[in-house]
Amino acid sequence: MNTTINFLGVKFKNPIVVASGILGVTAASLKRCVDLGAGGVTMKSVSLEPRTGHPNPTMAGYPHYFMNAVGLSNPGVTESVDMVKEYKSVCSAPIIGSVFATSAEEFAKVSEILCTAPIDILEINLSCPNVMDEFGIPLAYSPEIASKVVAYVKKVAEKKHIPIAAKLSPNAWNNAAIAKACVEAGADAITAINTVSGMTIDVNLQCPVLSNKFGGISGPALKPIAVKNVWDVYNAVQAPIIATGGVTTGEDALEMMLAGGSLVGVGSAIWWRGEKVFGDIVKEMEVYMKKKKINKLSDLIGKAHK
Amino acid sequence: MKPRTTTLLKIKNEAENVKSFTFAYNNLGSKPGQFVMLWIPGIDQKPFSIANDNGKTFTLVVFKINKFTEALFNLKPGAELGFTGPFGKPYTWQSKQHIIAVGGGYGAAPLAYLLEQAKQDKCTGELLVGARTKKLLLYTKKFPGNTYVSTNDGSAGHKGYITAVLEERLNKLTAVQRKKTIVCICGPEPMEYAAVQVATRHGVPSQVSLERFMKCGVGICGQCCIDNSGEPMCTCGPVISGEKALSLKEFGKYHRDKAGVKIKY
Repeated sequence: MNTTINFLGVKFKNPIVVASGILGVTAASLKRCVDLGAGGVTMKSVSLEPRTGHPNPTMAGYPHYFMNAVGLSNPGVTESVDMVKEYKSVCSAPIIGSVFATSAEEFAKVSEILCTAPIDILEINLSCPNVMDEFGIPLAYSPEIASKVVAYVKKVAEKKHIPIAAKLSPNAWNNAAIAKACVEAGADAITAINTVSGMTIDVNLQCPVLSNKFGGISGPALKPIAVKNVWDVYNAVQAPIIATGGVTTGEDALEMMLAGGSLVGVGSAIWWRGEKVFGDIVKEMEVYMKKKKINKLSDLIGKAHK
Repeated sequence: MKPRTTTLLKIKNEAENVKSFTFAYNNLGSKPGQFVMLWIPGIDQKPFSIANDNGKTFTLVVFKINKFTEALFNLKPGAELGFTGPFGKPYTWQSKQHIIAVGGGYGAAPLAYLLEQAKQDKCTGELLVGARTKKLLLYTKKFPGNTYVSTNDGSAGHKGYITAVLEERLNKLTAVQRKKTIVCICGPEPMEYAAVQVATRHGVPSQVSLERFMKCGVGICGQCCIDNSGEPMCTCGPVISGEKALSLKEFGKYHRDKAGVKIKY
């Protein structure tokens, strides 16, 4: 049985990648996710300057969803270059860099610095839902703005021959059009999707739980939304997809691949199944492959589009 | 990790700028060394190691140090708060062991709870507490005859560090006693590092509670992951063996702030 995925020329031993913002602060913790079974990792999004993020509570877990508003805390891109170098010195699995900024120009600046690190792919976080008050409308809500950012990042990334992926938001109603615009502007891949905007209120204390009031919903509640977005993007563009959103089981991951995902992001699944979840999902996919007599896992990509 | 709600029952002075806060909560089921994330709506949510849990109430011992703890000090009994937890790995012991608990400053908070719980398993214990000065010492009267103190300025007990007292206590053990002794440490990390080294030199196993910046408490955000094992201290710690701690390259050397920037000790 072959679970390897060749994604834009980068070889992943299996399609499960640690999603951005999950155990992604340090090189050692990313390596540990690979030891636990992940095929690759995504670092937590970094910005030009260090950010401390929002006060706690920044995360809350419920039976059907997980919610977070961390506020893009990160040590800044310069310190993160060293983090990636350190990761590469201890781990051979691919690492996807992730950048965040508030304008196309700043995205290019951060990307240019991060591309001096040995990242395999660069993901453009256009879609964090938790920073609207601070930064205005997320960039992933408009084909024009999203494609402008992509074009700026492409210019600096292609000098280093690093492929780029645009990470879309489920809060946008027209992701097929946005994906198309991003690919036309130079995106080599699409990451679909980020968390969906939501809110939860504590009825005893009668106030929002997250200090930011609003947060991004992940976990099982997000999954059917993610599957539909992946499906739409697969129909709209030829570029490969990193399918992310609510995957907690091998069956969920297979569903994402059948919808069109080549790689499958996994994150808050840890809340339900512990950190062994990365390897467990892969094992569950292998059981399915055996039962269905599938030799190459990559044969499943987009197979539900008959 | 949906927040639970609790009512503040009692506030008590413990030392200068240190108070204990007792909250109503049935069957929290915590173990010494575990922590809760206490939430004051509109302010912040912070981890505190549990200083007592009797099945009906739990207590946190808090040093006034920042905006959050100031807000906590201003609360009155009856206030409703949120919390998540208990989280993390506790101190562990076997029956009939001898526990030398070593605390630095408000790091002594979980150690009295530890000694009291271990007593139920027929363990014996002694408490070693150090602080900068007498006014900051915790729990000096809790275990009469079994408490040893140090202060940096010599205002109480041994003048100097608590590690010197630990050295002295370990020196007094017979070979037989040494075999059933463990050292449990909680305090500022440079002191923890020194204490683990003293215990190791004496061939006595130790356990140490590491403080790292925590956000989620459930091993997802990655903020408290330690170099170079990569383990989140909220789930794989905060209490780890001294042997393990010494194998980690950041123990006693540096930690990360809330942005993830490395800060040297």
